[in-house]
Amino acid sequence: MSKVIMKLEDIRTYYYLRKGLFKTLVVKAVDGVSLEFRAGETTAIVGESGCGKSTLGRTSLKLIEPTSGKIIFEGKDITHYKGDLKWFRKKAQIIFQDPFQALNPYHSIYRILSEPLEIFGERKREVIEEKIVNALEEVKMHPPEEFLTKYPHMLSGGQRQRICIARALLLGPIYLVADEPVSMIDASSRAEILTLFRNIQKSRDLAIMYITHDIATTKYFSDWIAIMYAGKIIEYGPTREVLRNPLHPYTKALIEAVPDPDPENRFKIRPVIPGEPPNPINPPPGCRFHVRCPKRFDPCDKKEPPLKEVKKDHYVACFLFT
Amino acid sequence: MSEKLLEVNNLYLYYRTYKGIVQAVDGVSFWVPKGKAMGLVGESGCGKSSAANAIIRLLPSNTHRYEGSIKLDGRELMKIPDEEFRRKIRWREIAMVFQGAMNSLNPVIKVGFQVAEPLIVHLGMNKKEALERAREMFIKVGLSPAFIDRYPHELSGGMRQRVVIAMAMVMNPKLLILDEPTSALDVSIQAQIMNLLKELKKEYNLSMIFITHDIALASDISDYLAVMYAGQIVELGPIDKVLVDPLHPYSQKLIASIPRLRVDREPEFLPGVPPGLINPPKGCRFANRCPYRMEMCEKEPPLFDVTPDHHVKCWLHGGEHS
Repeated sequence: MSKVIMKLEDIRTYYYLRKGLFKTLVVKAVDGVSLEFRAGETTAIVGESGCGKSTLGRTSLKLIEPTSGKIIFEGKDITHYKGDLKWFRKKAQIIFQDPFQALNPYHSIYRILSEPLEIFGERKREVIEEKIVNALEEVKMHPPEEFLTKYPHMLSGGQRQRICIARALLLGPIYLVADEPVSMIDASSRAEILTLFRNIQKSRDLAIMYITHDIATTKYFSDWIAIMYAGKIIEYGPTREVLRNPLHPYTKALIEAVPDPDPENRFKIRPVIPGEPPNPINPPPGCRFHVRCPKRFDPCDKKEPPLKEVKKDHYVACFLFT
Repeated sequence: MSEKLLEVNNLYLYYRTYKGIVQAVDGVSFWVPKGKAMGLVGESGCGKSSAANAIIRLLPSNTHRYEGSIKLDGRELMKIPDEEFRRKIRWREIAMVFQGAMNSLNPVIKVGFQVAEPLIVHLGMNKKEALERAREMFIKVGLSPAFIDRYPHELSGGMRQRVVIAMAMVMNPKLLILDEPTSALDVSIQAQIMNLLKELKKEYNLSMIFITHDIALASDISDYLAVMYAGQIVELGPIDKVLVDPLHPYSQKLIASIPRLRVDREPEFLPGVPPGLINPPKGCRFANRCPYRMEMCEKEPPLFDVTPDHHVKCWLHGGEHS
């Protein structure tokens, strides 16, 4: 197995909401997540809104301080690293969901892409230009020179997202968080951006955390999948194995809920799970899914099921499998 | 084919902007049979929402050209003056669930009253009767009738979407237009709403126009499919033809770009971007991205009839080449 780049150990990230003078509510956005991200592999984090997947991504980049747990990057514990994080920022990058907001509208593409290089001490204009042109070529913006003087509003959503990818790649990262990178992009260009990710990953041997709510894309663009529900990972394993053979009732329901294009669909009523994801301020006791679970039984509302390996590399947190 | 409820012929809707005239809907023709759903699919900016706004006649003040024929039950709607249209057609005959409507409920009015309001305004019911009817409607859309006394912030996203559907259904319309009704919802909630729409369609023998960029989702309810590109319909027909054996190169590519969960097929993508609608290219608007482009494509193809109910706007399927 290839090298572990990023290791998260029992990460908990809580937000504190002040309610009135004396009351403070705790939002347990991420509540005990352990994961490994290896070079040349994409791990998809799948879950519905509010499940904590974005918080997890940002915590791993130290954009949010975890409440407890360890962030180990290249074997080094950086959880409480208080010094200059510049070396880490260079190696760990993020691509945001909305390429319309992630680029400064007043800056030309040249300025957007030269900024990270300048921050990291590159002064020679020729070197900067060469690096930018190479980066634009890598994200398939042809011809690269033509884009340098353009501004974000002159580009389509897909092109903007590629600028964001180019910017993230310029400093040669080894770990990349892609937070819903294609949900704002037109359907016909999504596969293009995701294929680009995959090719760049293979050529650069990147470890990628791919955060998404779209389980269908994970099948084609990820090696590992972690299903999150209310701040916890409830199932983890090789993507194809988990999709073919989902064990947790929530994973099953999530897969059931996604339609494939099929004219027969309109005659069927889709099996659905009732209710909505729980409020992370006051998650239900025991298994957090038990309120909606069609298979709940005795221990589910009392004890929390641990994440257990039930088949080789396939982990699930459910009492049905203990 | 069953009887047509709605027939749209050569519908045009242009907007005036400081950059020029935007040809958002450019000669669109389609129909919706009684009790059936027409899925209107296409990428962002292709004019699908504008087509819906044109049918329910909600036009912005910068409308430049609005003409064509819209027949409901054989009656020409375009001849009806605005005031009469507002009183007799909109919401009584044709209702609409707007994109993101669940987030535009009035926050300071109880949701029950928001559902009941059209009954008071249009039918002159008294408040008590109207609320009673709203309560019935709440049950129909799967909400507890006790919720009529709640405010929007007290309901979750899925529940608010049900309120919005109740609002559209309360006048018992013949045609319901749904503009991306689930795009702001999580997948498990999306499946619940789709099931509800299927049930309503069956129970009321309701005709629908279902607008979405997600073809897989469209196939969950649509009996017919219309594919829009750059302000025009490029393919139109029964879903088992258009989805399974698409003829227009754009429909083929768009359908091939869907990542499939249950079949193993690498999603494809379509290079390039759709043309702007201010000065769209002469001839076929898809020609510059089309793999089968030929000389003829410089002339605009008409919507050819492949079979009496399957139409394609492409020279490959009509004229000398077919």
